[in-house]
Amino acid sequence: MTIIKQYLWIPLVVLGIGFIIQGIMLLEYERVYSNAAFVCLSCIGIEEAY
Amino acid sequence: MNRYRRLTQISSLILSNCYVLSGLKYCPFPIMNCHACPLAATACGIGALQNFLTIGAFPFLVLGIFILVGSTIGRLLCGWACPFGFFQELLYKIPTNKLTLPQWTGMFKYLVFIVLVVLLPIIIHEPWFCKLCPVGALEAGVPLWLKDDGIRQMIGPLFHAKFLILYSMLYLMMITERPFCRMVCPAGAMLSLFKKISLFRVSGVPDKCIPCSKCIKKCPAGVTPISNDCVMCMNCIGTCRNVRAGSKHSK
Repeated sequence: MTIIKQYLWIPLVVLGIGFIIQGIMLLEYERVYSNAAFVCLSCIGIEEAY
Repeated sequence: MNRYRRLTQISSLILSNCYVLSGLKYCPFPIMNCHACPLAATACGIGALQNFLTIGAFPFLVLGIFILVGSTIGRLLCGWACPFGFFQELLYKIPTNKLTLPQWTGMFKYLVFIVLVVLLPIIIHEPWFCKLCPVGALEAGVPLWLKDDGIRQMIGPLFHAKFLILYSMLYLMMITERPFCRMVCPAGAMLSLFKKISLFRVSGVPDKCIPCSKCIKKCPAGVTPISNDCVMCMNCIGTCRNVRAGSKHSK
């Protein structure tokens, strides 16, 4: 169990890098933020319905 | 060590709110710095995560960054780079009567993460953590309220609720150590899951711990290095032979 804990970071790093590459390939971040212009009304505390 | 940490925190504050680097806004960072702040250079990892969940997309990029950071350096960014953590440490220096939070309050951040960051965005498609986040109120709400007439006209009950949370949190920051990190921060909650398995970590052997509290007195979060709330500031290194930092761990 200790050995697993000791080296679990290696598969996690691989998984993390894999996810990042997948995210970049899908251009998913642009898809989410392309229309938001980075002024997020929720962050400011304003309901869009007002 | 603390001097280097202060320098790193100041550098991180400037870089993450340096308008000229705003091309990095496509990159979510696992620190609490609101991307709606007019000066913000990076995106908030928690805000980005909620945005993906509200549209029903799997957040590959955000999870990838959290897993990569968590499995290599754990919560090191909390103690060394988070601008909001730095802000809390500065407010705690204001001389007032101080309060020590009980250890169980640390569990509250996992509830915040599960309910506000994961479940509500998936179920009702709204980023409820962002709507209530005191970091957004301070870094985006205040400057945009001051400079934008359109924003001022749209202010409603949610804005006031958000500011009430901010005022409460500011008061707590003056009387207790890093209350937002301890009780609320969802980024800290995610990164703390890697506490026992990350490559670089601050650790101690619970069996060898004598309750001398030397490490707690040095800690800006008021916890022991064994705790999941440890922000890896490394101020406690040297106070006790049981506390270690590095990639080689005691068994």
